[in-house]
Amino acid sequence: MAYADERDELLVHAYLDGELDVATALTVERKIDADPALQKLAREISLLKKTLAETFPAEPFPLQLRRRIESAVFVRRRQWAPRGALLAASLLVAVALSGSLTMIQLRDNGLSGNNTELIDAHVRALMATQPIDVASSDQHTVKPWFNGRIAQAPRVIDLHDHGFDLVGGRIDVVNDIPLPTLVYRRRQHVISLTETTVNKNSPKSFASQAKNGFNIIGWSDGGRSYVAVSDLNAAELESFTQLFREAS
Amino acid sequence: MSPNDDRGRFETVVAPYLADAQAFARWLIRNRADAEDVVQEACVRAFRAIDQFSGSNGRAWLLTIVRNTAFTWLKEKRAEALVSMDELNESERLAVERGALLESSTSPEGEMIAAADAVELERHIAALPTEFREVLVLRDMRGLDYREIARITGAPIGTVMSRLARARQRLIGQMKQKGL
Repeated sequence: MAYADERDELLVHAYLDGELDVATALTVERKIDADPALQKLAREISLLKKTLAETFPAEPFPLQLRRRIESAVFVRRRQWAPRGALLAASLLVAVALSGSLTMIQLRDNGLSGNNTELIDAHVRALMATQPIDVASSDQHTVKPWFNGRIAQAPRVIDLHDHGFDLVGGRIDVVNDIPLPTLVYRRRQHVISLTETTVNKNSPKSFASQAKNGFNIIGWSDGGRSYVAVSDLNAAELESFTQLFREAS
Repeated sequence: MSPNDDRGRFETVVAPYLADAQAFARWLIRNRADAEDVVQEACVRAFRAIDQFSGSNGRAWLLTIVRNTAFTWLKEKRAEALVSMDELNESERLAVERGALLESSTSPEGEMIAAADAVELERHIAALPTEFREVLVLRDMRGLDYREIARITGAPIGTVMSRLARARQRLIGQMKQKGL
């Protein structure tokens, strides 16, 4: 009852799976015809394949899961509000994967109005392999990088001595306005610090909030307005912003 | 890249294969809710790496990412679930499965397999070592060809063929035993 060889047996599987070229298929067909053991094997395999296909048919993809995945992939504010816990979990997955932080909720922090573009800007950074466009710990490299790319180069402050390492910068576009964003790191936490134009919605002095596991601090200072976002704890993020303000 | 482009690429590269991804993850993880988390994570990863997608065979590409994500998840959450190939005696080859098959070959094979109910069959598939199970699922439930499976699992085609044969033989043997 043993098959002529194991290779024949594999070829019977491949034959029934439609994986063989015509010449080989013909050879295998002949072998099956000539060998009762292979005939039996072929019948059993066919029956199993049929049983598996019928027992486990393709299931439609659940719409709810599809929405959940889209939310995780295209993190958007409007989908966030009503579904806090679930989507916060999605975001944490995304953030853990990117090793960076970029989601922002700034409605109450001086960038009210159309937030979509702000979110999109940060989502793009989240999805990039690097959350930064210029990678440097040298403020004299980062600041000139913004020159020529943006009307007003941001203040770039080295806070390395305080445990906040400058890792680079990028430009985020909000309401069609390119804004310079500095990226700092504290241990494994990334801080995005965006310099915005001052407008009537800008925080007068200092405003902070926590949303979806992130701490957000905004302040205005000498004609400039800043928003810092991080998953760093509130106390440390606040000390970061204070150091930045004092140094600038 | 504008947000609309992002949407478009997700729609064409990732979205068509979500059902495949979900089925594959579910058979690897063996828990629907956890599999959903894995698929979601895989989609985020896929989307972040979408620039590296060559443009051919989005399904194999997505399933490769799903597999990697699932194996990482299993390693972290359920180390014991990963029965390694190394723990099976390779030299046995098909002997075990074939032996069971031949011993019980007195009954018509058709009745045996047909008698299996879905729950029973599912249990047997779940009991297959992961390397066997994934090949069986990709071929016999999702209809991928050998080359795609080799690409997804990172195994040579010969290995894919022998794993598929062993998985099927084991199921056939078990169905027969049950029928006796």
